[in-house]
Amino acid sequence: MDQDRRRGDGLPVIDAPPTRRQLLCGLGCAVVASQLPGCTIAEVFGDTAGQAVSFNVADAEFTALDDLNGMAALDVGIRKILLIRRNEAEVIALDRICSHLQCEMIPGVIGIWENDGLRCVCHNSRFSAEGALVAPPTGDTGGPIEAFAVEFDASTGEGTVYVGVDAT
Amino acid sequence: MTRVSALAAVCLFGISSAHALPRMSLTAGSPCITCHTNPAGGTGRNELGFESMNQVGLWRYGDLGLDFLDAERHTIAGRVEVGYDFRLLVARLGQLTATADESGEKIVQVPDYALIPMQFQPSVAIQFTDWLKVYGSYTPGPKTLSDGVVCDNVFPGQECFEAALQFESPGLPLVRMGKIQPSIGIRLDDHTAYIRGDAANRSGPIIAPNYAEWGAETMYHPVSWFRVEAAVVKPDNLDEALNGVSETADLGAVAYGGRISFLPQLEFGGEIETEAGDDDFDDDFDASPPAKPTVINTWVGASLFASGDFNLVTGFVGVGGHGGWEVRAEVSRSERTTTHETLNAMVAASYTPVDWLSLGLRAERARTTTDRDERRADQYVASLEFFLLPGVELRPEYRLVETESSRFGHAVIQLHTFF
Repeated sequence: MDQDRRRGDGLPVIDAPPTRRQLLCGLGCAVVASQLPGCTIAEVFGDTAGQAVSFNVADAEFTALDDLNGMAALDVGIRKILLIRRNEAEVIALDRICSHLQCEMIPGVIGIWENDGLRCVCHNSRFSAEGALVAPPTGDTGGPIEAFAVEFDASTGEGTVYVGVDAT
Repeated sequence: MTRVSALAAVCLFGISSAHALPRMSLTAGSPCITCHTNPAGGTGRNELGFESMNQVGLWRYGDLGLDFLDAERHTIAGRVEVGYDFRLLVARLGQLTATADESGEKIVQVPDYALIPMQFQPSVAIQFTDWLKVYGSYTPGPKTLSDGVVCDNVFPGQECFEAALQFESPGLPLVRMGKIQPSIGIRLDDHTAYIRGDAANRSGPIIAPNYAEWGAETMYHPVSWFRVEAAVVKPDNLDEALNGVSETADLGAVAYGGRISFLPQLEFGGEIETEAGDDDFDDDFDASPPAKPTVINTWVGASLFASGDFNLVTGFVGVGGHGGWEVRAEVSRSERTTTHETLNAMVAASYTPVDWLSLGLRAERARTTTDRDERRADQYVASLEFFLLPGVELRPEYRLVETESSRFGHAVIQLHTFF
């Protein structure tokens, strides 16, 4: 501490004007910082092959589909799917990633099924059962989310989701 | 004057920067209330806090020929303290997604960089008497002006204002009542931290930024190495955070908070300044300064915040020195009525070689177990706090976030101005 340097009100000044070393350090930091945007790491885990994936509401991860409006998550490679028990006879499958800012619509937490539509809690995007964007967030635009074909047998609780492949 | 000088020295010498950060408290060995109106820190600085931050910057306004911007003080008539915090962030806003092209090759879509207004929070504090202060702040949201909404909160459970009466008298516990944030763990200025977040809902933390409730808290700090707080609040915003989407916690009519902290300061070597020497502080220009002891500040403590079937338990430990270094860790666990348990941890370290530049590292781990599955999110942050001018900070960071489905690292930069 330099006790000789004091301001008019008696409080000491704790540091001197920047030295050349400090300026170079600051410039170095700025240069490093400016290069960082090029250092983006972007990996999404999972494979890309199209698949037909079976599910059964008797399985623990899908028991929510036993109830009307129940939702369950299903990952098919890189695709994140949201299964929704739309009515007694029908289970639908929608993309779980919101088209607005890519929030993951975790069932019952961020993705809410209400009024026969899907609401993303992040910024209140609303989608129809077919994946069409019904209401974008205020002041924003957005697009639809993908809907996937589903075959579902309510009597057995078994179903199949077709992701990247045609339904048979 | 002697007392004021001594307190100023705590801020000016001990705190090598002037920002509302836990690292400041650890390196200086002084509580947040030394420089902040609110004993828990945050927006709203007292005169000492203002003076300390007014000294920090690579340049001073006068160096750039902008002397008119050199603020002398922020107190009006000696009783009214005004201030603000403003933050802009440039970051890739959104999450990674992937598709496959016709050959089945994976194509990862990276969100574009966007300019994100994070915070504009003016504050005021009025010292009515020696023992009574009133303080408050207000935070408009992105739609406040366009929709005419008074409280436009980005996060569930976030509050747009705080306002409190604060009673403080030497030797007695400090009491504040009104719309307050109870003391929960260590208050951070980074709302992206996972420590009181939720890996299953990263945009819906348990304790939101600027979380506040109607209630009261008392703080007793009888000796320098021990502090305790106790609070009772009405958990309206906690209810919104936990039950806004679906009922996950059966909360009681009130929430109880408590925090206990042990803050021993260890000194090694050096010469001890006498009271007489302290009294001569302003006059003895030519005397050689006494050799400084090596000072190690520590804290260790825990907090509990609970209501009904919900509880949030936090433990924290930290160590720092006047050399500008500090290391701290925090662990937080919460549970609620439904199966929704969080267990989060954070380790952070920083080094401040000069007052206008600080280097920081932070590693975080968040786990949430629900009746559906277990979610994880790990975050690693390397940052620089670069104070260009008094009250103007640039904070470039590199953030790497890894979840069960993706790994996403990118650089962000934050502009923070404050007064």
